[in-house]
Amino acid sequence: MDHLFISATTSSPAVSFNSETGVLQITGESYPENTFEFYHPIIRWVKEYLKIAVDKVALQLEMPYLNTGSIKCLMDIFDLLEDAHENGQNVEVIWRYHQGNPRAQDTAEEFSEDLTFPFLIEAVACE
Amino acid sequence: MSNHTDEHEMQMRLSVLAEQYGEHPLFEELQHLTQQYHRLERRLNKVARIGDMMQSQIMELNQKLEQKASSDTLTGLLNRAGAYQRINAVASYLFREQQPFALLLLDLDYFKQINDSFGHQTGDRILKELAAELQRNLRGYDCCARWGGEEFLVVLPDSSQESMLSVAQKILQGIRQLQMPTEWTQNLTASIGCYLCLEPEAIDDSIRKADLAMYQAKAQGRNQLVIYEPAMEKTRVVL
Repeated sequence: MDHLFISATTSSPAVSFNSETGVLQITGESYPENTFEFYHPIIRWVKEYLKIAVDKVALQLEMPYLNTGSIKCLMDIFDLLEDAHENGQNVEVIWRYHQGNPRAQDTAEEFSEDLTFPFLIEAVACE
Repeated sequence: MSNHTDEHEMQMRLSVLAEQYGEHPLFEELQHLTQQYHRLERRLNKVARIGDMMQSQIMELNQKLEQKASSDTLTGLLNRAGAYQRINAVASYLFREQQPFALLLLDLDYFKQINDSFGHQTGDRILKELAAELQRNLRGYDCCARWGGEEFLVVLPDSSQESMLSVAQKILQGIRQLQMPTEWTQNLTASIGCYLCLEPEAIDDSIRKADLAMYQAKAQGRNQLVIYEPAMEKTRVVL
């Protein structure tokens, strides 16, 4: 399966999904003009990848801001991971937030509520 | 009504319906759709909660940015832009309430020589100490700003000529006691232009009048305060 790479813009995050290592990274603020159009290929890729993934799938997120559409799309991805986890697949999310923005931790915790797969929340130093 | 109550009520109604229509082929479908509805509702609530959190974060960041844009990074006082905003707000309130306010425009004497002789680091330290000294002499609702390089503007709401002069004197005295490099044999001094604004006028005019008085203080030998007089308009001082 091909990797998925999308470059960051001022309003959309960088996406780097590696189908060999199982490391899926989304980094940057997310408020694209057409959120669902932006996330459609990402969600589709995750869905397809989970069908064939054998080893651990680690979704690493560092997204300081998300608009409402992006929040919804991210929850769709988490749903896919939750289903995979229920089917016995090894999945995890690592949510990184900027140390200087403690409220971001609350946001991450809100996301992780009701999810049963490992959801790690890590503070990273601000640039 | 909370969503929890909604959900509970719907469950109750379903239980009542179950007694009558439990065997109906569509009843199972109804139960399934109800569950789906609640799942989507919980999801929508979650999106809204996270959206609100994001919104709050933006508001806080905006406030920090606004504060940063109106502050002087060296002294922590308001910068010129911040001061304009604050003075305009204060002045329009005081004009409405028919309360006078005073402006003090302060310029450090011989600051260029101090900077040239001892370097910018020493100059910056002095400016920071001066800012702290100004704040020590002001009330909580007075406003103090770094107006330019070594120029500071003080706004004293609800002031009289007497209280204006008293504050200006205290500031002058405090400045003379600030610690200077040992090689500098004189005390640090400043020239202050004072203006008491009694009637509504453009804020730029008020500042200009304090400025004229400050230039007069410089011309009269520095290290003193001078009160604005209309006659100064005709005899503009050129230093």
